[in-house]
Amino acid sequence: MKNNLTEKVPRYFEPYVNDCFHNAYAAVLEYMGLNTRLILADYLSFMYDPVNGNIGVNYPYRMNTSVEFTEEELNTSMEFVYLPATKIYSGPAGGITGEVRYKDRININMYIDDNTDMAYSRLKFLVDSRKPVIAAVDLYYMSYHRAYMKEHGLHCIVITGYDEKEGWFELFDKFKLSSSDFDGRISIKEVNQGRASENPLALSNNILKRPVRNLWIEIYAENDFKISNEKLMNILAESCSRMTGQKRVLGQECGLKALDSFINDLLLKKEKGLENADIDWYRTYLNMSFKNIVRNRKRFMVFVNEISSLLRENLAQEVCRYLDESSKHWDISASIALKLGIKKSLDLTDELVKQLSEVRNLESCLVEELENYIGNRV
Amino acid sequence: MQKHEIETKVCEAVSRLGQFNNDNVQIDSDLRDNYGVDSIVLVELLVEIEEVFGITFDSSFLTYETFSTVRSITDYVYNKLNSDCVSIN
Repeated sequence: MKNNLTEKVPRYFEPYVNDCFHNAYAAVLEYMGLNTRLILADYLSFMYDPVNGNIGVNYPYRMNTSVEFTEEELNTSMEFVYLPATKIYSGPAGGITGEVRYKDRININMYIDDNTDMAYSRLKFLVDSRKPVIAAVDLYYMSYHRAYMKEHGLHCIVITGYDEKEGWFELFDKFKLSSSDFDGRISIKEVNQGRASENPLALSNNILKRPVRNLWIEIYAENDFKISNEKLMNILAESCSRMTGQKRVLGQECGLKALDSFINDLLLKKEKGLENADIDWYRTYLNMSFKNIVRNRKRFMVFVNEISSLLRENLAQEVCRYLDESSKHWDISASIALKLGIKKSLDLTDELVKQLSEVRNLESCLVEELENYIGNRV
Repeated sequence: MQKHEIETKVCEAVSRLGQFNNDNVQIDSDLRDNYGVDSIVLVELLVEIEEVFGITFDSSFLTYETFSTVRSITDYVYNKLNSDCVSIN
């Protein structure tokens, strides 16, 4: 094995995983021998902010102009993962053991450094130490992608090797949801350009930017890290708390009550009439956000199936049946929102509300099942 | 309208909106894998087909699972046109 190649990193891709970042995390977690179906499980929830119309699962989706996030923003979703605030890399002092703040969690550390040479140097050090590196790039500079020299977009890849003499990085990008399917070599210059890109945002007609700032991610776990049954059960309990509105997250109401408010506001919007700004909200924002929620419901199904032996007989089956149905209605809602935006027809609101009401009924039954089980268990 | 006429118009729309390999659209080929018709393009395609044929797709069918080939779209449109005729008559 060459010093500058990390071999046998799983080329992970699952369409239910949150996004390109989480798919890249999963590749590295599996390389570390960890069960991604449990580690990357996030809570079941729904959030709605009536002030700006943003929705989400465990944090509201919004357009970002930065790759920096606070600790609070990054830690709303997962039981087994801790993400410190995005940190400016402090130079070559960083070793290979990384920073582990919580021993009972996988620590995912996000670093930025505007000095490309410094970021590049850290990347080489990690690969030399047999650590695959999760790096953010602007797809505009990635020649294997159809966005190459056409569209900008923050994306995540996994770098597994390099050869400075020949000038290439070995990397893979298997995020097929955005038409990526690459596994091979790309010039170091090209990747470094993508890592240092200013990354203008298409949704703002390229007026706003989201600079990549050489963002990369290092994942660490203590040797004695283990997945406890108590924490697995806590994912179910926490999901119930959020879905029944007993817990607020980032100051927002969650769960079924938030869904009720969202449905009511959709009906109010119908009465008010369609404004230009709303068209993009339905067509792009709601469509994408509903799709994200579909993936969360499918992820939760995968998680529940994975822990089915810990649950009472048939519970996993029942919960998954509700989730399967509910994710179909979220998916149809995504299509209706897009259609509403294309046709500029608020009449479709009624169809949208009908689908979301189905979701509400199904998820209410699901939460009741889970609550009963947790209550009896206690 | 004959089924093959519907098929031709659906193929034309896929050819125009598909993101790749759209020169020779086959009726049983998967739209996503073969022509880059993702979930967004699919809805754009269905909206266009609604306008061409003067029909409305039932919202609960607006999924990739229901419409993954030219044939599945054609069958739906054909049945819809015929059932509408029946109800008018």
